[in-house]
Amino acid sequence: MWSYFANPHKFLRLSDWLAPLFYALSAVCIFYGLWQGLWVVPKDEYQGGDIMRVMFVHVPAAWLAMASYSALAIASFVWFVWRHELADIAAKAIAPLGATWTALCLATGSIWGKPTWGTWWQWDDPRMMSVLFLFFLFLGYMALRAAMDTRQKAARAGAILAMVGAINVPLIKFSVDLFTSLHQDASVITADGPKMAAVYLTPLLISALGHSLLFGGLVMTSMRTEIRERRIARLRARELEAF
Amino acid sequence: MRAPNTEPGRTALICWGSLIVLASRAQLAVGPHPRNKAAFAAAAEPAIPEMMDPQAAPLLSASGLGMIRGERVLFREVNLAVRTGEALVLRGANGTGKTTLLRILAGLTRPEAGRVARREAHHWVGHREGLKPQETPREHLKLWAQAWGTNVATDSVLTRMGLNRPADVAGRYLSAGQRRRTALARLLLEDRPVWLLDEPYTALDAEGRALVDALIAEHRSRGGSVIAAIHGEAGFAASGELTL
Amino acid sequence: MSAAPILAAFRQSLGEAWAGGAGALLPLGFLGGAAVLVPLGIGSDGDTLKAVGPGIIWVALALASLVTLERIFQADAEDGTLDLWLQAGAPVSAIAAAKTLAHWLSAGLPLALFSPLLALMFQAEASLALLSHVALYALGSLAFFFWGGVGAALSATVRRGGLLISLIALPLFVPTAIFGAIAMSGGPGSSGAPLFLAASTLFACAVAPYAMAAALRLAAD
Repeated sequence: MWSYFANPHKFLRLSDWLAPLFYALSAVCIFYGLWQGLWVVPKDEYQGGDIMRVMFVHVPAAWLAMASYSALAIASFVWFVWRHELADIAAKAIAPLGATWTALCLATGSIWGKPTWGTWWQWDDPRMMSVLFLFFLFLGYMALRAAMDTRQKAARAGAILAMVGAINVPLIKFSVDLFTSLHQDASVITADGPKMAAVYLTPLLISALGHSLLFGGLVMTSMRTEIRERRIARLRARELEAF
Repeated sequence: MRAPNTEPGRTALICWGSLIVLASRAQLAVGPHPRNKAAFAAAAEPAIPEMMDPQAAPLLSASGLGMIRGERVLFREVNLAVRTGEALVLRGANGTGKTTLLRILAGLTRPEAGRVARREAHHWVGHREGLKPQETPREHLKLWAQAWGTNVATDSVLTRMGLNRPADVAGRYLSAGQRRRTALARLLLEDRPVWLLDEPYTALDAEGRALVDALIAEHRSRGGSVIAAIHGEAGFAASGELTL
Repeated sequence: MSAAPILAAFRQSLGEAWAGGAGALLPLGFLGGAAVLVPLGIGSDGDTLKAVGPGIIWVALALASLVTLERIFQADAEDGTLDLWLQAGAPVSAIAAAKTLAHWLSAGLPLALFSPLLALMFQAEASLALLSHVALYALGSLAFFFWGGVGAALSATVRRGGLLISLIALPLFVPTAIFGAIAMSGGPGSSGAPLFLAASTLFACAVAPYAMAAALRLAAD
């Protein structure tokens, strides 16, 4: 399977129809999720009333924040061990998109937090803190790649950092949990709340699927752009050599 | 406030730690990393007894080397070998990849294609001397003698290189030529069959150039070999030239 | 493999750290300066200072490690020493660890030893606990130096690498800062936290050298 996907030509052919399909399906899923979330499901007073409807963006964003960093770490690992160029292209494409969804998660969490917790930023919430540090890991990754002078060096440095970050994530998560467990009062309302009713869960899952499909589609498009950019750079270099 | 339940966390930490240890072991077990293939290939070559037929055993050889910087092809299909007593001169205009080729031969840079077989230890003198601003030539030589575990009298090396006067002057106050002499002095700390020299004459005066030539001649007469990137004239008779 | 190159790398880094300026005095001055700004900024109320004191010292330690680390691998990459260490015949990870340890000894450890004085300035009561805090600061700063070393090695060839090191190392500093702060809080969990601090420092010592080695090979490439 790896060698199949490692071939840029096959990837271009596959993504040629797969990416638009992802976009179409994601539009359907996201709009269904939003419609259900904003107009159909009853509001939940325990979760702060109408503001809980932000959940249909917030929870998918939180899922994608974690999933995208995992994908980044896996792509980096694959590149580091097998040196498939496509894995590096994937890592490069994932980082800014992952950072965007992570920022979206932080922003919606903050918006949700203001009316329920009474503050824009809750230092005692382990999830907010973990996602914040995830955001920093993404930023560091992108800054490091941008600072390297050739794409080969950017790939190597990025892969090392992504893997160092990935093995630290469990430790960071654990320490943040410990930190917040010491400070948190039992009365703080958490986003989990009581058991979630199916009336919320189904649109939420569909919304999460939609976001994932959109993310996948955008990653594919971004990878296609990067493949072509590298091809252009190669052609330019060949042209220069002919002089 | 409630006391944290640290027990599951501790278990998780321990599991995570062992996982990483196992993973690092596994990486060792699966064999050579692609990056180290050339080095491993060299190690796997059967050792050739030196005295039997020196002509048949290159001290260092490379085949099919190719290198890309950014998107630009620096060179491709470079083959070379040096045998005992030989001196190979690398030539080429600025930016053709002489330094990169030398770094590949030294194992500092990973080539995009091809492999290098290093059968003998080598000395490296790059265009950056490796001398710290606060380090004196004497300290520099002592440090590397210690690092390489050799017992050469640094005083005699300093005398040989004409570094007696600035022997205790910090690197930042030395002239470019004195720094270059200090770097070249490392060649005398330990007897290694292969010398990789990047522009050895840079910044040297006439006397210094003659000294380099004498060192190379001595080294070759002892059965050593030299690969040097040189602009302009080489003061020694090269046994081969490679133009990039 | 022999230990000689590793010892030599350690000795060279130690010399380098003590030669450039005033040795350990410079980081100490940095720590003192950073810590003195705090009471000026937040007011001189004794209880407030007592509450924030340990945290400020942790932050200052982290900053001091970042400032010190900026040059440790960058200088080697620039003057060609890195090329020599990579060919010295010892594992690069061991050499990187030796260099990091040398810099910790000349900047991190003095800061930790100096911390009781700062704690007194922050209205802490003079007690034996301050001495046990020295051990915690020393342990924590070792982790700061190792993770910071990964950032430093990755940005060894980057101009204005210091900013990049901070961004890379910040998330990696989190566990140490949290465990350290809990250990000193005297509240719940403070008895177990030193063990977690030690564990996370050991983790850093075990993992960071390999990442540094990979990054240094890249810097020389």
